[in-house]
Amino acid sequence: MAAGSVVLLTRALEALDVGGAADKINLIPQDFFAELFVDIKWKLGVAMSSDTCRSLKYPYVTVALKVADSSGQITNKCFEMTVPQFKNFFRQFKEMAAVLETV
Amino acid sequence: MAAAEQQPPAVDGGKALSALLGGIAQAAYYGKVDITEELLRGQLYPEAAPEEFRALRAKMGGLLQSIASADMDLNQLEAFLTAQTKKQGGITSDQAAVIAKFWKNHRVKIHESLVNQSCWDNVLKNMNWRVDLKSQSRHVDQINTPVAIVEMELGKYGQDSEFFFYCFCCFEKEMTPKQFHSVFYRSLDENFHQLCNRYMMS
Repeated sequence: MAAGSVVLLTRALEALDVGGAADKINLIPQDFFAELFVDIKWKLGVAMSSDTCRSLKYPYVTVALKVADSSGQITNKCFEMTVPQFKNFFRQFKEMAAVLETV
Repeated sequence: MAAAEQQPPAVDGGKALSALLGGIAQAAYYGKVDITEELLRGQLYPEAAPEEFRALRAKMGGLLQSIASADMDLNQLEAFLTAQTKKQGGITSDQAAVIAKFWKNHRVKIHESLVNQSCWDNVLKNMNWRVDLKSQSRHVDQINTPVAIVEMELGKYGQDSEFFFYCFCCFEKEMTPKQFHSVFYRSLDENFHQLCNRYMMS
């Protein structure tokens, strides 16, 4: 399956509307080629204050992912998460690494 | 003793005020835009004149906003409310007690709502993954290699998400989960934890 059809596949899965996000990953066919992780950067910030809240004091992690499609084209993806979410994110990759080693 | 202005008669003073604070919070912090002043007055202070009620609602809303904006702890709250009971046109000590109880119950949720409201970029809403042993692939060197597929749900608060699927393989030239993990592991030292803890204890 060409990488260009990633968009088509995700749209098709969304249209199926099969309940939770967990179901979607199980529908991905065996020969599906997703974009490959190339690099990751992260940054820890603290939002001290905002126009609606003087004492926000909110720590968050911003992650910048680099992924490559089959033609080698690089895309950047940037998103935010809370510190507990970041720790969970980190733990999931640790589990994934462990599984990949044992398979 | 506070020289409070005449308060509008209420169905049951304490309960009505508590419900009023709840209504204010629903509109300001929990996104319930259909809670109007008229609705609150009819439900909670039906005997009150509209101008009287408007003044009460504005006063309580202002107090809650100050408390939420400073994310007051119990000491700050007590000092703040005591000062309000001594002011001309302030609040009664009964009202102060109701406000204090309300804030104790809602502080965490309201602060969380304020945090979410200040988050304008994409957030990672959910993540799932699975590991395949690829038996067929357009890439010959992928066959019989374990491949991890990650599904990420990204989107802004209160808006629809998009789902993205990314792969990890164990090729040398691509990043493996182990390398990914080690990027964090290298940098996750004591300072990081201390920094997080400092800002999370507030």
